[in-house]
Amino acid sequence: MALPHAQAQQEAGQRLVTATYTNEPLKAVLLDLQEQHALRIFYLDEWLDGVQVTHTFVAEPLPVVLRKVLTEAHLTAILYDPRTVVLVPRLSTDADTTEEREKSPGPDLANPGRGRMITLSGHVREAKTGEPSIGATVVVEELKKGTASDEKGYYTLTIPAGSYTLEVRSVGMVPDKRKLQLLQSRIVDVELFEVSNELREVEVSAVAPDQNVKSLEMGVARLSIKEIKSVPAFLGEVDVVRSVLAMPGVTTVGEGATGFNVRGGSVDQNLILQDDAPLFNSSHLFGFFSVFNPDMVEDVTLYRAGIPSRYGGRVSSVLDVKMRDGNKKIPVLSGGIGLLSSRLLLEGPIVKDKASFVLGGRGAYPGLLLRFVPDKSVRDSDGNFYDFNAKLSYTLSEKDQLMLSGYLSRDSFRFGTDTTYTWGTATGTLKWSHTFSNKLFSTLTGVAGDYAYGVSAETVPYNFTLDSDIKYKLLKADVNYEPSAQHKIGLGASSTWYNFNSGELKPSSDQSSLVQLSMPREQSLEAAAYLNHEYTLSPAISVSYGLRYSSYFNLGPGRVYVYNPEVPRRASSVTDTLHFADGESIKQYNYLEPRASVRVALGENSSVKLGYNRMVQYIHLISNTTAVSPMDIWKTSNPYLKPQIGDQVALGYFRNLHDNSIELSAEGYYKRLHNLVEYKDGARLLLNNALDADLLPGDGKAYGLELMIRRKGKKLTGWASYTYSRSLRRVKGPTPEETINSGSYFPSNYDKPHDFTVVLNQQLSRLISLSANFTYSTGRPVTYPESVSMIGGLLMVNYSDRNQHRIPDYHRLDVALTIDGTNKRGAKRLSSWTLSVYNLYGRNNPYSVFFKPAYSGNVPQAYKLSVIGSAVPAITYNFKITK
Amino acid sequence: MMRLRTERKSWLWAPLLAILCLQACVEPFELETGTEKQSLVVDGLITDRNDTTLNKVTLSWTAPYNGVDGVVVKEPVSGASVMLYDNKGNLMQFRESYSGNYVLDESEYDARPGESYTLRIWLPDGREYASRPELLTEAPPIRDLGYTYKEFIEVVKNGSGELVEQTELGFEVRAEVDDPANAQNFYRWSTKGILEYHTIALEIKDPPPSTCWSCQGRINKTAVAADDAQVNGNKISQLVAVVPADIPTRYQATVQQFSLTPAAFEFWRLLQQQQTSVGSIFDPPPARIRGNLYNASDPEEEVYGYFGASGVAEKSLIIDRVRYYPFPRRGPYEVPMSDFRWGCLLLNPNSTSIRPPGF
Repeated sequence: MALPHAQAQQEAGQRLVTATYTNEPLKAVLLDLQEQHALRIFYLDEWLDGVQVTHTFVAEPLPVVLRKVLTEAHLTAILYDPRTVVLVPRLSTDADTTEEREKSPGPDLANPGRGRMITLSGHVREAKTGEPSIGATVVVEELKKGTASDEKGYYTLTIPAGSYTLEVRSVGMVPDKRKLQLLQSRIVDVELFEVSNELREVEVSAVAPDQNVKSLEMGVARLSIKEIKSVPAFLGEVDVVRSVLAMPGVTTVGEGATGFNVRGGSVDQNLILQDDAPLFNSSHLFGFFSVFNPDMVEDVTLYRAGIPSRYGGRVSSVLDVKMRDGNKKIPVLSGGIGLLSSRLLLEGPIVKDKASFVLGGRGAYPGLLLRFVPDKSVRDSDGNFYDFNAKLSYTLSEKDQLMLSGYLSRDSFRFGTDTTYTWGTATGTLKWSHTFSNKLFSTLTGVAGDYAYGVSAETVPYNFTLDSDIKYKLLKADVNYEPSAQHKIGLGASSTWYNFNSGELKPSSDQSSLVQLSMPREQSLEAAAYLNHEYTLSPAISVSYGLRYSSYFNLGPGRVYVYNPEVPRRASSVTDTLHFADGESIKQYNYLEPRASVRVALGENSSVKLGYNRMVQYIHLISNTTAVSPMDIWKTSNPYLKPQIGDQVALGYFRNLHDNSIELSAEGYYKRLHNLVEYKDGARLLLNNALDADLLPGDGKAYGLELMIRRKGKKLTGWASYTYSRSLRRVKGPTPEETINSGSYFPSNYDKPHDFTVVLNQQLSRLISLSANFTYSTGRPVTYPESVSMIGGLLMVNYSDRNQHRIPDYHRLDVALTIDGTNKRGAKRLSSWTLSVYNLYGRNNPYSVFFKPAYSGNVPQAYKLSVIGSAVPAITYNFKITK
Repeated sequence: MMRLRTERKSWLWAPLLAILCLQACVEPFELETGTEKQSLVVDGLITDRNDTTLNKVTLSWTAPYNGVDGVVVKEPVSGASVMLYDNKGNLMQFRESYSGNYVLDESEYDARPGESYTLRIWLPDGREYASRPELLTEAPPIRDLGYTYKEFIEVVKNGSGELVEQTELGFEVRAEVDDPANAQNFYRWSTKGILEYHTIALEIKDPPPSTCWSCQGRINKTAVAADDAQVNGNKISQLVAVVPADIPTRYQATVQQFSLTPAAFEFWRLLQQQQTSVGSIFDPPPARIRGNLYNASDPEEEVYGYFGASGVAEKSLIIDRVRYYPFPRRGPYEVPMSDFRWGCLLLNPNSTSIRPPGF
């Protein structure tokens, strides 16, 4: 009984083979080996064509047998695990090493420092598609030294000359391990092969396995699209922002609220980039879905701290979403059908191996679901959204790459038969990357964008349209110079021009009593230059420091009200109006933004990191509702509305266990924020010419501790995080009207001290995986009534100071089951089904608490509003067809 | 813009709510945050008309918030001394007509548009309160009143907790105002109702009255205020009240239009916003509504309410509801029996058999 079991457990490398092959086709030999030794061998049929094998083996070890039978086909066998063998083509460089190995003595590995330093560089690509493999880890085993490939798949390492084992790994790819004899600088390009479905979930990290400990980064969360897909989705819609919300330090005011809050910052303090184009609204359907088409996304990086100096313009965080390139080898059609929306994506080569395109579209039809609602005004409502991505990439030469990316989205939602909200984004990005040498790279990026939003109503005589928009143009240049392994220098400059239209009200017919009214357009220019130096002093200590200098101009044409300085600013206290001509500078602000971080290794598997950064934000979202609404306007800094400034200090401890399969981290931060935008009680924000008078500058402080444990590379993967954090604000003006809560600190709308999240993904079998997501957080602050009074027979409720109470706590469990149609490698048609249940135990999580009298004149009853009050099941079908 | 935000907002969130939450998602829950600390509430008005029903001040204490049984016990403040000063130092004295109610007698009245007025209050315990000065301006006239017979579809919870549609019928009363173009105008409206009703006339000698009129008092359920920021110089058509379509008789709606100062408008706008807010995510978070009164020696003390100075314009409208009878989904109306002694007088409160002007 024990014998077959023992055999199964036996290492593939220790298996002995006895067989005789005479002019046997190689494929038959491999099939025979598979049969005899319970192996799975992966290869492409075309590699074996015409190769015949003649050999006799008597109790020879399997690796030796494989090497002998594969010699003629120029293949190398990789023993991936005891039952899996992956064949990869042997590159000419491998051949060199075998020949040279005998001739040159190996370097003195004990003292590698003595040898000459040489540079090893090259591209990592996906063999099937020819796409660059981003974030692949390239490790020299003997030196325990490694790097990750950049967004072009390029890697470079500076090491002493010698003979080494180079290992290249990437998500969902068979690792490539090869011996190299390195006597001078060399280019080694590596092609990686996709693993079959069984193996696909094994590797889910897009970065070096020890990135957690080894890199200088802290407060950075990287999610590959595979990880994003492993988080159970609401209504089966895979969503980038929902996955980001599962990271520590990221919260939202509630279900279906637009945007997210990072480390005590407001929604507009996140710089959201999609292929370098800033987005002003990351949500579809008021926040239930994010604007990123999951099929298009390559990877997502969220910087909560240690924000590199190449980013600027927002105070709290950077969410950098990279879209993927099209398949450079073959056309592929993929898509998905869900309850709420469907997706279709087409990609393929334009010029094989050189140029490719990808076109992706999504459309949603929430109107279908609305028909089942009893309320008539809801049934009359209708809505839709769509988005469309297109990307072209063209490899002009070995040194030049061109990328063109475009995005178009539109949301429209009509409430009842009357009010329609619309918003949409259009962006275009053109990027040219040039490699001067393997030490010097440059990119030039140009972006143009437009975010338009509005509301219209049809009831006479109050029919109107109210439209607003933001247009911007951005140009930036970045240069990376890596003179040696110890030094990485980045520098660049950028300039962004903004044009804001904060509202144009038009009566939509002659019967309308409304008069046309438009807010003056606002223009501004934001320019910045940065320099950053990353310096590895020793393997144990590395530092990165940088400086960003930003300069901001509020430009004319425009008018600025002068307020009577003796009384609180009000529309009625305007004493004079200053007029500025087109292009004239109304106000200038300049800031230096220092950034720095230090990493100290505490041994092989742990490190401590310390970081500081200052961020400055010149454009602001003006909203005094709990959740951001599509009517909220964006405003550029002016003489009264000063730039927001954020300073953050963060300290983190990072430790990896069990061969980097478990990552632990603890990060603490303390943040001070200045010139936050707060509002007078009941402020009117729309179409208010004297809006500056209703805005109050506030100070903020936020602090927290984020603990996280993450398991990677096993059948059970996922993470758990706990965050304790506070986010406080203070508004202390010269008069009571300009002061909130008597000038003391009060919790912000999204202050949720305790936050706990677990995301797990268990591979149940080759084809079936189960994922679950649990989240708990403290209820957010609200203002509750304290007493009531009667005014002219009408009841008036007297509320407490701002945000002095809390709504009940939030918790929720979601599960999803994914069933793959096939796990055959290289199958032409792939499909999968995802069954999910959101809010499994149907908790009525309160979104808000409000007060409404049952009958007029009664004391209002407290009600809690839950946006999702029951379990929401969903089913989604995904497919992929390869020509 | 206020109109835009408040009128639409009340049902803005409902559809999305309903898409994703096919079960009841709005649930009442118990909350008691009441503070025992009592603060003074002042509700005062001086107008350009010498009318004791308008020129009066009501003083009371706040009641703790109790959302569970929802009872408001309004505790009046008696024995206070209430004075009104104009900006020349002239004084008018209010008289306490009944507990907590202070009126400006016709003999004391001496107010005119263009003057500013300040209210001063001395409580029996010696605390002194004052208002910020309020400028009295004339109110533009109401050009016309109109009404529309309308169905209101509401979703309510039935006995078993399911959401069902319920149709309510009523007459929307609108005030039409030609907004003067030369000035910034702020308005508030208050509507009173008089219900006419009948009983079956008794065929006896000296029958008691069979046609009565019941004064329904204020019928607008929330504060109604508007400004002319978006319509300056154009026609304002403001929904001021809804008259129910329940019995097929005549109904008189009397609309009073008050002019407001910018600060008073802010107060009434916030009160209206509070009363019409449904707690949707697009509603501004609730906040304390600050009035224009303060404790003369302790500015930190919370004082609620407002003292206003307003010009008044008034207009009445009679809705002959018989013309719309029968009302859909309501059974035929049966005229009730008369009381042998009082006729129709006991059927409704505040009734009279003397025909009011207008009927």
